[in-house]
Amino acid sequence: MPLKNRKSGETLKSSIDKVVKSDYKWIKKSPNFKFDWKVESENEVYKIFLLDSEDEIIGLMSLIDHPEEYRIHLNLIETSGDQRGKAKTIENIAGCLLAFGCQVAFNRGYYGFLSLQPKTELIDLYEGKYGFRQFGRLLAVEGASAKFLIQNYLFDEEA
Amino acid sequence: MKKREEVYKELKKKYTDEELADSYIFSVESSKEEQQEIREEFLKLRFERLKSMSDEELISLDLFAFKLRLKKYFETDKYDNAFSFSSQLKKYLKITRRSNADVARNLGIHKTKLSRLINQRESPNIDLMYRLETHSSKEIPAFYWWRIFSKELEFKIKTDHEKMLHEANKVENPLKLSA
Repeated sequence: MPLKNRKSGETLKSSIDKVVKSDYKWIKKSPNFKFDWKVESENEVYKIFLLDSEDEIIGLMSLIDHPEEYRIHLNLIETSGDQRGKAKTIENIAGCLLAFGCQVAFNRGYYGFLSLQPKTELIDLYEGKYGFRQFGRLLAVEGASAKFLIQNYLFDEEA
Repeated sequence: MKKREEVYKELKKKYTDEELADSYIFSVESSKEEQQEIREEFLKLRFERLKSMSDEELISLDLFAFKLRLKKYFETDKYDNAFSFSSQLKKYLKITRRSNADVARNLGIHKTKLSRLINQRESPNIDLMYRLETHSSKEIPAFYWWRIFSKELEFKIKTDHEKMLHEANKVENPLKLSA
């Protein structure tokens, strides 16, 4: 399930890169992001954009590395305002970013372990939609579930 | 700028929980004391989980991490000596947690041949790549091994000037093409 055009179902080519200084200015000016992303700049922040529209960020993700705990903590994912709710034209933005977070966790030797401290009312949805499970008051996706997310959201048909 | 909780409340007015989970994934903010309590509780479970992982699970996940590193390498144009066929074969052997002699037997090759491949004294063939694919339970496709080797081969062809000259000296009457 890489990015897809909601109407046509066509797969959309995209890339996920680290956010650079100039991006923060763009994000701050953009009416499409509600959270304060400048605060996140002390973390690892990634952006997702379509390859044919590199200037426009359609989603952001903030991660915190906890090497001593063998995990990446997912602080925040936000999709662009025009890609939320009924008006959205692109599917799977949050899923792709989440899968990328798991990939980072695999690359660092944490077996894909990505944690989250969720709002109680969203726990069931995160568990059902993305395969998170509870570790105390944190939720985490890891191991086979993390692998599944990466294969589904990030791999092309070639394998 | 608004706090997370305020933003969430604002968004709740506009979107259903399903739509929110589809657009936002975020960690809530909590006090330092609460964070510490949550962390301690988490760590106990995290390390229990790590301890409980079976060899089979660890091999499967290590192999997947290996695959991700290869995919990333394939995205680059440059050859990296750390990704030579022999070094990746060595990494693969380590992941399997089997002895080299066992893997050689599994692959139907003599252990001396495996040793020669590891030490770059022999080049791999396609037969071996297919066997490695099967050995990895198809996690690492044969064409991955081919890509690793072909990138190395391309680099060698471009940079082995001695061999280039040696072979060029054997050629008579080359085509004369005007620019």
